[in-house]
Amino acid sequence: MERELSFEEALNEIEQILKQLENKNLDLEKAIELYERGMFLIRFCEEKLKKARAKVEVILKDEKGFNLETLERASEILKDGN
Amino acid sequence: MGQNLELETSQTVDSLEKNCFTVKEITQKVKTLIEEGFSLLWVEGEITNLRYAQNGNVYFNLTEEDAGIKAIIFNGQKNGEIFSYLKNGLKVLCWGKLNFYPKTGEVYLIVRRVEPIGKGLIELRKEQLIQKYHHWFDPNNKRSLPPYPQKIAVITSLFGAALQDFLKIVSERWELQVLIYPSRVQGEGAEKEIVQAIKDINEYFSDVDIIFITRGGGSAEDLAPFNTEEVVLGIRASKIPVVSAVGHERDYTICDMIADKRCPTPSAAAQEVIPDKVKWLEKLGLYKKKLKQFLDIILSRKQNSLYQVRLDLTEKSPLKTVYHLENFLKNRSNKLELIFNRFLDFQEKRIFELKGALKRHHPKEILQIEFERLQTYRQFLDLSLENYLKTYENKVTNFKNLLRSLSPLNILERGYSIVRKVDTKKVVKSAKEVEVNEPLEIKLSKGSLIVKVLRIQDEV
Repeated sequence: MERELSFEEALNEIEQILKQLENKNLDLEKAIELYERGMFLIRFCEEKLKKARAKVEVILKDEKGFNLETLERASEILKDGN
Repeated sequence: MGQNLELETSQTVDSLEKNCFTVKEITQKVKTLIEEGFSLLWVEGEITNLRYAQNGNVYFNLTEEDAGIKAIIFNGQKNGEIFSYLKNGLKVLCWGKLNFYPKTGEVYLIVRRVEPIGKGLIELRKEQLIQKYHHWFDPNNKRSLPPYPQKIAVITSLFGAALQDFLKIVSERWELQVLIYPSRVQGEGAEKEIVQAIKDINEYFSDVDIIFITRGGGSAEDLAPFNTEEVVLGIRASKIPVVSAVGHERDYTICDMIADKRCPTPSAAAQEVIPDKVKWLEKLGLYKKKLKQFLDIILSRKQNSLYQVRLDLTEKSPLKTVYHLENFLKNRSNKLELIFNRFLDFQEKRIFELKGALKRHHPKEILQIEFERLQTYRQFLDLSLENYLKTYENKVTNFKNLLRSLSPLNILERGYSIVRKVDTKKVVKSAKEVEVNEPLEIKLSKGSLIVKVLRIQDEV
């Protein structure tokens, strides 16, 4: 279920949690719960960031429609085509 | 030829008064002179008094300081883009032919071609577009970019340095799907490809978060497609926000102006628009710290109040009363014990003293004391007797010495001798008492001699 969380959503939630934790009179149970959730989300974001890479594809258009190709392959095709 | 004319005129005034033309004659002559005298020519000047006639003709004056000439562009000859950019104050080079109109006596330059001087055509076209669409360039009219894009499209040439620069920054920066839409970015018709790309992406890749249009620096001609109305309308029509990074820092195209964000270079576009995971990791670290701090604050507050409650509870606890009482009792009992012990000590001391006194009055003690006194007396007595004896002994010794010093024997010791008669032992004191040959005893200090008298001598 957590897999579906996006970085942005996680980040928003972290910021929400921080805002809530700023209230010093929070219930202890609630505070611990928020803290654990916050830590979980931070780790989740860190994991996501550490793996972050750009996946590059090229949109090629022909009569039938669009194809996605790798940069190398597209460069070859277009070079030949030109 | 003009000189000739002048010469001719002066001659006429001076000598040939008869040389007279009708208006028709002279206008015809001037027309011939002008129209045949100048072939097609370039005239440089500033456009003033620009007017558009209903029939499509364009009228203006070409002026230079206080000189001017009228010019016409006929509707049928308005080929070339420049005609739509004409405006007063524009410096131009006009190519055409001089025409003389006999009806009004005016000379017109019939313009076939106009070229701008100073600013080029491209610049003019750009200015006009800016004028036309400037309300769209207002930052308030622009779409905001999603801060965490997941999918972006890049419209650029596959073979340009711009794409390499862009991808170099983007590749390790963010979890991102990059779709490249190859397009020409210079030359005739490039703008149409760019606009088509924008359309296609909007239509078929509508989940793209941001469209980048980018190319490297180039000449004004190279960048011309980015200064076209097509691009303005194409970007305006895009539902997906568009980032433009065309040319170098100094190049500012209309594409840059209409785009939702303009970046000076392809690399800058990647840096400014695509979040940086390094920065985000740092920020997350900060969040982590903050989270811990906040929890710590809450925890310590709870701990504090717990401590307070515990303190209150202990304060009110029945055990505490018992403890107090116990303490009180203990105190009292200690005190009691102390007092009692002190009393005991006192009594003990007193008994000891009494015991001592009793002991001193014991008969054995008295006997001892009396015995000791007797002992002292005895010693006294012994000492007195001894002294007495010694005194007498000294006295006897003294007498003995006195006696010895008075003894006749003592005189003998000093060398005197006693002469006695052997038979009677009578001491001879005078020579007359003896006879010759009579034995005599001479007593010396040590021993005695028996001698015979050899002669008697009287006293001298």
